[in-house]
Amino acid sequence: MRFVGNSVKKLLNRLSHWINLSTFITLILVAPIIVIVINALGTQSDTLIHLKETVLSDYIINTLILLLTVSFLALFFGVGGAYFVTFYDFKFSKFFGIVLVLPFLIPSYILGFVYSDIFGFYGVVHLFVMDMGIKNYFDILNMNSVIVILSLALYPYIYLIVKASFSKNSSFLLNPALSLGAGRLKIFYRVILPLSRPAIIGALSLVMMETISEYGLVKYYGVDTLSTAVFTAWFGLNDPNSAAYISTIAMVMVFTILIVEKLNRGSAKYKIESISAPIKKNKLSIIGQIGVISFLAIPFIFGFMIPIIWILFYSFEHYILIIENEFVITVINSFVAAFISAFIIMSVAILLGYTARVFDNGYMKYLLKVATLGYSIPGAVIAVGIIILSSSIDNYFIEHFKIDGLLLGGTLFILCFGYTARFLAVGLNSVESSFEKIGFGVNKASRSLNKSLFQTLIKIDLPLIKGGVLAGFILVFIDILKELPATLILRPFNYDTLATKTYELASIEMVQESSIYALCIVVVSIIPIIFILRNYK
Amino acid sequence: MFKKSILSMLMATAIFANTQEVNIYSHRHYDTDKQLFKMFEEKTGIKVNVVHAKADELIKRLESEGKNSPADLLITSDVARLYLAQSKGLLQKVNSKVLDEIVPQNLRNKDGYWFALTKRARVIVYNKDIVDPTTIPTYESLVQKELKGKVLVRSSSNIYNQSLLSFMIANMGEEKAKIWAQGMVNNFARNPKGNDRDQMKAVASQLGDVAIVNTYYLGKLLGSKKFSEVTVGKKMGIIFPNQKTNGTHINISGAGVVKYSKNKENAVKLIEFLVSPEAQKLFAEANYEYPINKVVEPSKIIKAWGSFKEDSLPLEELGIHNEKAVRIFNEVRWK
Repeated sequence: MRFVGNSVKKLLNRLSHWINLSTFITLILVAPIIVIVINALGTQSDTLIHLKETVLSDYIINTLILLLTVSFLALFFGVGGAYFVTFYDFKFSKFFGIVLVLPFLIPSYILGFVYSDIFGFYGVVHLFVMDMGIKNYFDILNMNSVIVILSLALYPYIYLIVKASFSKNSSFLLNPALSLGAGRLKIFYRVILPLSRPAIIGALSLVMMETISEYGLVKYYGVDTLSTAVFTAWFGLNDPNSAAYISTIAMVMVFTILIVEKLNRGSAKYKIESISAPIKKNKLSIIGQIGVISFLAIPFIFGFMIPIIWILFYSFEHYILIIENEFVITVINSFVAAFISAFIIMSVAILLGYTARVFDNGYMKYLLKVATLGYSIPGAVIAVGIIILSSSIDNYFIEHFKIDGLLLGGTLFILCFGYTARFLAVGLNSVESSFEKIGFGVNKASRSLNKSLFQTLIKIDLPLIKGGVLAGFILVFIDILKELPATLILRPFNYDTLATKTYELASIEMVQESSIYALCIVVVSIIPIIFILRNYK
Repeated sequence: MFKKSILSMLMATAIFANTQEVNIYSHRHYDTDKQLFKMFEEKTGIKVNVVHAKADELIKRLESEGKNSPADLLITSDVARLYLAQSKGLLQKVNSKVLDEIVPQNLRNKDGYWFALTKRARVIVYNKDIVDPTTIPTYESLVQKELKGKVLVRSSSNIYNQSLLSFMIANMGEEKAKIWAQGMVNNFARNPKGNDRDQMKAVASQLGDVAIVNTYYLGKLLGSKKFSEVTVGKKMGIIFPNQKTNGTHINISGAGVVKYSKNKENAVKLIEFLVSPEAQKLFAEANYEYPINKVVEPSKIIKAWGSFKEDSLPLEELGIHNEKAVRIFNEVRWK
């Protein structure tokens, strides 16, 4: 008896290492946010009262409007696209299967600049309209444009994740349902949607967090959101406490939406031990094909084709920049930082995701949510949290160990840490949904054969979710390539990335000159993304 | 990963320890600056290292790094941010005969905390086809009833607007400045958005009659390779406001030596170089800014606008009133 008791204890001890380690890593990742929140716990400042009395309510309303409309549009394009590409057979269906993800490669602030250059006053469209003798013209800088542009930039998250879930989850239920004679539409609502609900919600929460933290685009288009308010409070009014308070409002918004969804979903679980068989695709009539193709063409043309033509056009004009030495270094910088960070992020995501899978308890679930908080906070705010943190560590070391120079501040390490704190959500999302798809049976089986958790992870689970991990890696990689505000603040001396170069040029109103760097972001990311689309279905 | 980065850091410090260098935190992203730094390197053998970011964020970085900051020089494109850095104790005094001689007194801090590198004016531009410029001689006249729905300007989160309102506060007091800001909002053609060039494009398209912009943005339109931008620029008339009273509001981009700089001498040398005639010429030609060195002439495009009376307000005042300005903007809902 005693022997058994001891070994159980040992086992528990060993198991808890996983939880301890996960907790430890999560704490490190949210430390910058904790620093900010501690700042927020100061007295109710008069800045905050001032903001509440003046602009805060408008900002909250704008944020809510953006959240709702962008979610709706992104779902419309994302789920719609995934649905048609997965379940229907029509001309160009393979083509659309790939290109629908491409808008993801263009940063939203670039999309904003491009569209204001094309449709703004004295842009090509306006010049054409004037030539026709028409005097009235519209102002593109407004809320509606922001909604459309942001939806175009963000729907690929939903498309990618939901498409994977559709094709993995559905065949074994869809095929019998079909042979039993159920209608397509009914199957969509009754079978496919409920099955893919976790994937849809996961993807949607990414879209919402991106929307809340969006800064460059909304600022340019004159739409004030909570993320603008954070900047006004912190930098304009010099009050970090209020800024932290407002960031907290944003985080609470995201949490509320997620919790409401959880309650709504109830205790139903959608885990399936799936065996995928090819899906019987429905052949469409000619009219049906035309309808579907037009629907899919909208996000592709406006999200990618038009901006990429614009970018290419101006890149040719400024191709001379490429020859410069500096250009090559910039590409290498971007690549190295994104690669290292994506690697760290996926490793942490696997650790956290796996621990949550094995210890399927409330604590781990909340821990995972906490670990991904960074995604809903503007990059600049996290970056400042990191700076405060890293300098206090640096100063401590310098005082106590007489080290010459900074260990952390302005290093590549700190930059990569910043990326990890911010983008873990994206990686974790892929890992979690891959785990959900393979079910838990294999893992249990392996451990009943006396394999350790670690061995099971390496030998059994990892190979099974390889595709999902790779997809997550690439998503994170591209997100980092595009990342701007945190990079600006955290980067080492003389360290330019493609995103910072693009933005620096665009921000001094040299949008056309920036196109070559924007093009490079697209080129660097297009190959891996097509790769996963081909290999990970 | 961590070990590696420590190692590489140590190696980096070891290498840099022996070479002459100067480390800059800069808010200016212009190619001109890069060219100038290269010229400085060639001339002096002092290596120039730069981090670009927004001034606010760089100041936060300086603040939290404290006395261990690697930065030697802070460069911003607005005086209010230099003042902020100074008032937070992040800058140090500099005694340089060269700088005192070249930089006019009103364009530098009297104790040498910061010095102007370039100068720009915030002016009124108007659509030549529809506006009689004599009806709008001052900033104050922008709030007249006749201009209701006709005034364009970018958002209040922009530092140039904050400094403009600070200028109004310094000149007419907080209360009147607020009434002015309210009058501006009442006259807006649209909610503020876009950048300075966008305001001029909107004026050319007759969305409004007048806009407030920095001089060099008009210079850039006129010097643009894009035909449509030149067209917009040519439609603009320029008004230097308040010529009969206090003078037009000017702002600077400038530099200050960081308090805990480890390469102070090099930093001062660099500022001295940046105000030298050869550097000032580049600033003026490439970026359409007004040189602060009297020996150097402004670029042709800018010279064509003629000379004007500048407001002589000590530039500190713009920094002192900055927070008040932001609050007024919020109160009158200047977006």
